[in-house]
Amino acid sequence: MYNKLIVLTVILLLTAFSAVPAFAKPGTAVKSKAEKGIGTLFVKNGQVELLRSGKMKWIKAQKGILLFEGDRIKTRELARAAVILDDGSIIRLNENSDLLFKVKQAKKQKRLKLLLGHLWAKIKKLDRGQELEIETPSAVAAIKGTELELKVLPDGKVQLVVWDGLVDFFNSHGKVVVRASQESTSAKDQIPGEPQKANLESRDQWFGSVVAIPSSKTLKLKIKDKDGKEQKLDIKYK
Amino acid sequence: MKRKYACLLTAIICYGMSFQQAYALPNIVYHPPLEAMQGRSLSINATITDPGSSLIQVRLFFRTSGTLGYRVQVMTAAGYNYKGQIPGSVVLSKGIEYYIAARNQAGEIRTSPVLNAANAPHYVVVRKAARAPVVRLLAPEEGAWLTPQEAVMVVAIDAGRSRPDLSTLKVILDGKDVTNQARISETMVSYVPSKELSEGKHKLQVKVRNLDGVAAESAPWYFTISRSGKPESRTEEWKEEPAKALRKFSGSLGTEVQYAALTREPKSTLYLSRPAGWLIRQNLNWAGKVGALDMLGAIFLTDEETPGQQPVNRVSLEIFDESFNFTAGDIYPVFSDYSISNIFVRGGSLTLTSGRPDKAYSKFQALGGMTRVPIEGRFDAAGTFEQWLWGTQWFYNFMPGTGFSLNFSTINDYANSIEEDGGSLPANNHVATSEGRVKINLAPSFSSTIYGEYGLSYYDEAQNLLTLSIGDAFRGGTRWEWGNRSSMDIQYRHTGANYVSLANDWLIGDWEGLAGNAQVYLLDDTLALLANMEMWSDNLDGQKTLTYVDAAGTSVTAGTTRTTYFSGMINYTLSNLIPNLSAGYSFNSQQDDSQPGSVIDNQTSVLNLGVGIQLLLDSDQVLTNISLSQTQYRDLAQDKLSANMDFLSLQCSLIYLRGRNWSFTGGYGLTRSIGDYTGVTLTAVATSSLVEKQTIDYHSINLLANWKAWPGKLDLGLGWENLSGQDDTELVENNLSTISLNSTYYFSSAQSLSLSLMNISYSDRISDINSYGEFVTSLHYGLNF
Repeated sequence: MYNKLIVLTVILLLTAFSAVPAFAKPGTAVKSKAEKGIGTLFVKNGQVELLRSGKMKWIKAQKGILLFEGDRIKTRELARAAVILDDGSIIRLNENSDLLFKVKQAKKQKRLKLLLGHLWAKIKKLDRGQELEIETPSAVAAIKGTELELKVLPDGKVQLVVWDGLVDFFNSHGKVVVRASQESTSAKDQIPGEPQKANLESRDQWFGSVVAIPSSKTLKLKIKDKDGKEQKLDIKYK
Repeated sequence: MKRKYACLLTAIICYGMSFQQAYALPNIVYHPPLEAMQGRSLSINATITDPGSSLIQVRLFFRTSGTLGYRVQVMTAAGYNYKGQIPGSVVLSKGIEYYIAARNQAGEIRTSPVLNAANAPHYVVVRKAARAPVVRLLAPEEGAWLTPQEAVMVVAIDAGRSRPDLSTLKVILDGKDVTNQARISETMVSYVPSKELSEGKHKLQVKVRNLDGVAAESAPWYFTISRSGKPESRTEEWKEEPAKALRKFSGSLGTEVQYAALTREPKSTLYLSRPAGWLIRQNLNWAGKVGALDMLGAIFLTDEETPGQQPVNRVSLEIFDESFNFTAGDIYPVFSDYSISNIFVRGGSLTLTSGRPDKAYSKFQALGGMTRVPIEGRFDAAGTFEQWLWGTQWFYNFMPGTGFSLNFSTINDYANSIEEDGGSLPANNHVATSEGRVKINLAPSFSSTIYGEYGLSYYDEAQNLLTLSIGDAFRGGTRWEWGNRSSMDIQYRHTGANYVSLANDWLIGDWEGLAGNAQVYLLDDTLALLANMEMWSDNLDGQKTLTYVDAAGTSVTAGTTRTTYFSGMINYTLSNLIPNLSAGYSFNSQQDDSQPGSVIDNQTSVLNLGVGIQLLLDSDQVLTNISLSQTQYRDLAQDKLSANMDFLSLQCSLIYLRGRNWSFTGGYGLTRSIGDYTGVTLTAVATSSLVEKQTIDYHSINLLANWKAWPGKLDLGLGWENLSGQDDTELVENNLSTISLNSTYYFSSAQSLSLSLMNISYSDRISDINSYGEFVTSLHYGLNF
């Protein structure tokens, strides 16, 4: 009887242990509600596309869509978009931009990659130990709570403009610290350039216009004239 | 000749059945949960069958790990399913210890865990509930003015160490639930209205619970939709919603109406799951304040109560603060092992305390009421409960763990069972005991306690001193405690022949012996080793005689002076791991010294093995438990009443939580009972000995699916359960099948209505008179206030 019992026990234990890898499904790419959204597309002007992690086909991104690690978002010509991250940080994308939400390597790390184009970011002050890095083709901007602009130039160089706060701008060749109202440019195989004073007032503040545009293409306003009488004003646009 | 064979066959069957009954303890199928949540009540559900005779009662004993006395609760039955609930006030971070004890009409008790349950109970790790999720509005900003096109609502959820229970998530815009239109993840939720929002002020609110059930509700956020944007000159006065006044009372009310119709009427109601007809259960629980005092109340009323049964109707009211406690209704007082313990009282209790348990502390308690112990010989009569109990205790601790208590109790038996019913209960039984303990802290987490209790009992049946009976009892021992909850205890007990304590209905008198147990927890409580040893002998001093029929068919009467009982066990558990492992071995033996030869000479050994696995798969969760036990009973008094029996039990259960709307539960159990009754003799008339073997297989299967068909509004459940037993001698062949359908509709978060339909079918192919069919319809209304 004991021999039978031992054999049965061994079978049960083996079955139980072998069940673990069968259930665990490591690296599953299935999108589900249980997955952790890291951002939401909350402004979309023009054609904005989304490539889900592990997928091959770009789809039209809809306003309000949740973004997960590994997703890519792209703005077409004349299109702009704004993404709000789960900590309240805002990233605005100019036209012809491509942004990847990278899979984080550490629990408190968040990493984006600007593959192409131009972004403006207003990052909420991060908690101690938290990191937000925006990677570009030629350097990485490590942000500690700030407003900044990053632009991938046609020649592959990357321009960083810091509006407020402090950014470590580095690559494998070295690091510079870029402070408010400074800019730096990085190129491949070179240490990022020494920070220079940026003329912020003369810069195109395109990101201020990344607001929701009525889909009806008619903006209807009600205004009161000097007599207090209500007047209607319709503005049509293309 | 044929008649003679028929008589013999009938005798064999009757004997086989009676023998089976004598050894057929209630069978408990129970799988402990992997963990419990601090402060949350824990439901205990067990399936209990009793092939021999009907169960009288099932009790759930529970305590916070590290405390001494158990609290007890009568588990309520629905067919073979017994339910109990350990209140959240006991579920503390040290863990919970509990065991289930089922007693049948023959007085036999089966426990889960099987052996020495009181000293080595089930242990469940208690996890602190994670903090409430934090819900933050990311967009729009509080008080923002937006055009309709800008109305994108984004919310972040931070559940900390836990995860949000997305099935509880509610996104409410202007009082309307828009959750179904929201995009949801564990950390972010977004909602874009499908139609343009109207101009004006809007209110957004988000509610969610975490997996521990801790709720978070966002404060209402306001924003304004305006086609023209925010006017520069306009200032808005945000009117805060008046805070809801704190309710003085909160609680729940439930009413259940059941109707059971017999679809097949049995000739014997022996196995009927419940009597046909109407049944009403009413439940009210509340908590609140009476002046500066806290108040807890619970009422459970039903028309199920019958004479000879422990209380089904339950009422309790507790008013208390730190130094004052008044409890009325059903109470379960515990003074000490040799005074009041293990007994239900319906009455009242007043406790006054001074100081705190971690410093000098004293307590005075006085209680009185009617005991809920049926009077011997009057099971079927009305007014069965005719014992009244009074008791007082004064407990004083000079410092933590060091002090004494004086206990006094009296039970008056107004049924006068000795005179009127030939019973053995004295009319007035008084018990006085004193208990002392000294705790010495040898190191910061290492202590030793020496303790002892001495008790005297006396009663005078005829009230004339001629029938005065006095008995005494003593117990003493030492307890060593170290680490978080490791301990070792060695105790000597002596209970005199005349010592009677009716206020502890499970106290065994006229015994003495040693008991020791050790619980060692290692590796931050991951590895547990539990060992227990007991060695007892009853000191019958030649008073006891045993009559048996020997192999030659002769009735023999033997006297015994001493019966020794020895048991030991070791349990090994590895928790906090995947998989969770446990293993245990226990052994006990009994032997008497009657002459010629032993009448009682048997050994029982039990081997348990268990594996539990819990897996998290994205939004899904899988919990499995597999347990295996083997029980071996050997009767070494082969020429007397003897039998060898083996029980092999395999129990498997699987819980699969699919997404947030589906759950599936399945279980399979096989218990094989192998009996070898070689050497058993029937009666002096049937002189030939029998050689009989019997193998009975009990299979149990249960499947249950639950579906949140309309999340937050409608839940549906479908269940099937089948229990069957069959042997190889055509004495047992029965099957119990239950199909149930449950639906619950939630009018709001405070009100629900449930309809349950259950079809029960029992077939007994050997004794068809027991077969029946029953259809139970149940309607339950619940209200939280």
